[in-house]
Amino acid sequence: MSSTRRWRIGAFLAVAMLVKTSPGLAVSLELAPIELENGAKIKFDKNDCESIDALPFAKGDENVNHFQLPHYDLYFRIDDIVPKKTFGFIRYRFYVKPKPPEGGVNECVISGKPSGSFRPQLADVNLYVGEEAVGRDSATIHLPILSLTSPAYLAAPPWAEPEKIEIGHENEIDLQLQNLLADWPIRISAVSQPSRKEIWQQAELLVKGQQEFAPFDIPTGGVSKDRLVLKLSPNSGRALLNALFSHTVKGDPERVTASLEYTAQLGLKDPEKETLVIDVPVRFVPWPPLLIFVLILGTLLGSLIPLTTGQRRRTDWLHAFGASLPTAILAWLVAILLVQNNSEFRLLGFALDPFQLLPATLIGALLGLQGFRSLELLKRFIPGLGRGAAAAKPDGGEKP
Amino acid sequence: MRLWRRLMGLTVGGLLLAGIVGGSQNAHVTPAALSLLNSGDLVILDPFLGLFQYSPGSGKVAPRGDGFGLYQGVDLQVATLGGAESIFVTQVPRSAAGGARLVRFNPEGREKGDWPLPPGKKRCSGVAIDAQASVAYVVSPQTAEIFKLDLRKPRTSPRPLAKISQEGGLGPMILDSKRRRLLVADVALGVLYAVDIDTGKSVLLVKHVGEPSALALDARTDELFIADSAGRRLWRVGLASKDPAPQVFSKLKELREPTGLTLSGDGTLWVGDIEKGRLFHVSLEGTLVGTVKL
Repeated sequence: MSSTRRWRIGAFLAVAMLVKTSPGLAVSLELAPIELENGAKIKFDKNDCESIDALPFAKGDENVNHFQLPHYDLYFRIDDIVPKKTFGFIRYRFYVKPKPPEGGVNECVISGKPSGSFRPQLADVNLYVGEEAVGRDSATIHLPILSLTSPAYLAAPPWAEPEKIEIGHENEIDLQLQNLLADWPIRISAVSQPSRKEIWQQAELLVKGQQEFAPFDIPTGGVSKDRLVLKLSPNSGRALLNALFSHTVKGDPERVTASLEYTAQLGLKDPEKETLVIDVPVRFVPWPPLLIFVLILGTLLGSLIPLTTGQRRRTDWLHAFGASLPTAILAWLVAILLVQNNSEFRLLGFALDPFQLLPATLIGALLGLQGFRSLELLKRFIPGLGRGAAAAKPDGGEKP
Repeated sequence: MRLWRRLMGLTVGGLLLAGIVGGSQNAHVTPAALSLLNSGDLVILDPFLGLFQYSPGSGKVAPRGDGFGLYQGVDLQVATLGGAESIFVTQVPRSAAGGARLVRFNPEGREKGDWPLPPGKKRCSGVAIDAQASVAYVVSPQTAEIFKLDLRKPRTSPRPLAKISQEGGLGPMILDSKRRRLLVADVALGVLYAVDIDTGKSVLLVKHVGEPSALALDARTDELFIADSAGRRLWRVGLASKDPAPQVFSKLKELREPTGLTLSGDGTLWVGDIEKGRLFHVSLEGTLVGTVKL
């Protein structure tokens, strides 16, 4: 064999080995930018792929998304999607495998740069893969689009009115939670319990029917009712004190603040935890017989005041008290009716909450002070009532 | 009053949440950034758990300080100023309230001062310390700016040094004191800029280094090492060259997401991998010397 021939054979073998050992033709992958709601968008950087030895996952891996294109097989794993919040981008990792007779696998790292505010979602993304020698494919894939500055995607409806908390009882408040994501369930992974102020014997955020918190999911687009409850048992003494000095319905209610930690169940390896703060306004409501008791006590005290100042005769006191008591009870019931129907009960220019101790006492005291004259108030509401009493005591039982 | 109560409620909620998020001492340490102490020990930054110290001699990992509270750590740099060794950490707030800042810790992890970034800067990333000038440089990826902070006066306003007009995500930074410049990497674009610390002018120095998440400079050999977290490899760049080209220094199969990098005294490298939760000790030839599970 001549040296020239040997050289040619050698060169041919070298080229053949190079072709055989080449892990595959390098490809490029490009993702088209997409427009999202409210003017938000995401742009992807073009990236030249790099050949690797083999696909880094087993066939049939549930976490792998596989797309068949004319010339290539395209794969991506959800847990290869990494949000890089500090640097303002999301890293996607794709694997491109040219179809036979071409071989090899290419790994393509692409960064997506979102702008604007949007919630994580699945979006249709157009992609272009390949190189001229093999063929260039295009396809539309369903790709998770994460947001780096996403608005909250779990909501708890705000409270229009404070929740009534009965003193001396265990109270349960159902917390409604709404999953605002269209594509993934949300997992409530942890809770921070409400601050244990001295006013509470028990203040706990629990899954209904369980003694301790356990993580749970809220389905896509769903509302969770009766899953999460706030169990509250007030410390009776302190709650009564609070109820005593609380006088208005719309005043400054007591608040119970707790928070939830939640994640969208996208399948990411290390999903970022979000926080929802739940702030529940509460109002302590004493036991109703106690309210009636303080109403009577107030009426009694009110009726005694004219006696001590010499403006009411001792012999008339009991009658005056007897006359003012039903008036006080009626006034209190009217006040309850008004407040229950989102109206206001005003006395001397102040809006009073008849469910609280101090206002109930005040109603009783004012009408007790009026004595027989309190019947005049009744007559305004119920014509004909109390005529007998007024006739019997034309001067109202008071000293001239 | 109502507003006050609401604020108090939110604060208490936030503190309780911080207790949940950052309270566990049993959680694995995530080595997001590394730096070397004078003793030869490593300081490890876990974004949520705080600072840890690893002693290669004893093989022990111990927490330093009480965590970062309502902040999240991003990057760190050890420097000796006026004879005192300090750990400088860039931090971002965990909640919507507050802004980005640089915090100085002593080696025991106690906070010794802080320098807030200008109002409105919610994010910061790389930090480089010029110990001789008592100056820190901090990157704001939000606006692609580098700020200069006077380390002699805590809580003083930072001065802007440079603005790099690229739509990327500036990240780690290191001081090349020999050339009086900062080397700052763009994590999103995979490039490295050189910024003159006197004029603030920047030039593109190196391209195609993947996702450069950490830098280490060997002043003796005039070489820069880059941890590429997406490419799962380490790059080496000879800085003496006028047109430096990156070369793959190490592509260990063990690397999954390298984001921490520092040189040890003998020129070998320590690599922190946040996905593996491990430290890798890499030889001068780029081979694996040892692994530390955190």
